[in-house]
Amino acid sequence: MRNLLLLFSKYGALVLFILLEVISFFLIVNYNNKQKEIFLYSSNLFSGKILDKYDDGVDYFNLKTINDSILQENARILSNRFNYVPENYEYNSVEDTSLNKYELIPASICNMTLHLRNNRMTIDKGTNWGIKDGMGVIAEKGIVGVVRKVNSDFASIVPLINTQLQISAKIKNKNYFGDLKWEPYDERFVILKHIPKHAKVSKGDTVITSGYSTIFPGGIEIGKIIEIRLPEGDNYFEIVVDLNNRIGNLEHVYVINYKLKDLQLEMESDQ
Amino acid sequence: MGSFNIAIIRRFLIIFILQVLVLKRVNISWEEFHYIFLFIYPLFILLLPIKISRSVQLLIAFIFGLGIDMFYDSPGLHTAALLFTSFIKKYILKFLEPVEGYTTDSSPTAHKYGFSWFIIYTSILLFIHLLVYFSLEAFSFVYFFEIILKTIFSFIFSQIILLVYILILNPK
Repeated sequence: MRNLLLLFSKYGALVLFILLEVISFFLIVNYNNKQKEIFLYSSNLFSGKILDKYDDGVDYFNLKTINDSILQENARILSNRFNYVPENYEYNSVEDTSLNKYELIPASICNMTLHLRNNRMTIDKGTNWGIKDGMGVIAEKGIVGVVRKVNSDFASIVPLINTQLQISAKIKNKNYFGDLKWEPYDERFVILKHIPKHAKVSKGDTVITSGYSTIFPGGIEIGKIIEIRLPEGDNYFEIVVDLNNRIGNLEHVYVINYKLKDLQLEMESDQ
Repeated sequence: MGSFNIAIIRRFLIIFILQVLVLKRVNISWEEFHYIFLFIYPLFILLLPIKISRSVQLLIAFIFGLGIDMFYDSPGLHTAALLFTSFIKKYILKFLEPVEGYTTDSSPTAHKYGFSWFIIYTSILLFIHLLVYFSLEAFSFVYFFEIILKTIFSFIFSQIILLVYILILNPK
């Protein structure tokens, strides 16, 4: 106690000085608008920077969840494009199936081959998520392939770069139909066949899905024409299409669930 | 001793009234030039007796500063600067100590220690006071150039007023 008093008598003035200065600063910051603003601003600047850095660090841990939610959101937006409803559409009943024909299921690619004649791809979602055999698979920029085999947690996809796959396609705004087929071994290009040679096709035209199947909705962009060949003595063009998607670079895809597929197939089989 | 205290109280009132009623209204500025502010109130602290307890001096500075602030509508601003000035007064006095030392219980006046000594003494403390004050007023060193200009011009004119005060009243 005595020491404390001695200490205070020695440094009392300093302690008092600091105390009174703190009081004055308190007054300055609280009752002077300009100083208050500067104080608040700079302290916000300071704490903001720290919080920002902290956030940057924490964000890494959330990336996976954020990624998943973005995929979900993307799937919803993409499916809106296929489920396009005209502005003056008259709703026939509460459950108008034509409003919601397509549902997209996001999935991640977990295995893929690129250099075989018949490449394969595996995704991490299966029947548990509603994926079935024969569904179309797309990515943001275009189509990827078709589901061929499913179990509860995985699905095997036949991608565009597989010689066994043939997809009906057409040239945008020109209405000529043909079939897309891959020729090994360049993953970037596919060949559009069966376009008659009288068709007015030019380089740079866009190739889209025809919509004449239960796999893909019509109008999904596939790629651009970069070369038009006419084999001798043939009546059909061989068109080289540059794919929008680089299949080798994909990580996430969307599986298209066409809800009216069974109805349509049933209808067609009756004919 | 009694007359001594009365002298301090009288000085308190004179400097206070001079500052808040006269010098506050003096507005020397034209066009872009608004760097002159007249402050002589630190003189009161500078003229407090040398051997006064530092704690008492700080408390006096605090109250005096708050009084000035009340009239300047800037709570805490003059107080903080004045507290700082009164805190470092001791060190400046030590630095300027004459060979024969300070006589006890007296104020450091021009009358006792000479006019040139007094000018140096007040100049140093007034300059520091103004520098602290304008820094606090700006509250950010972004305005460094402005702070320096304000300090220098205010210092020159305040020092003149301060010396005029000393010459007229010449405190013992």
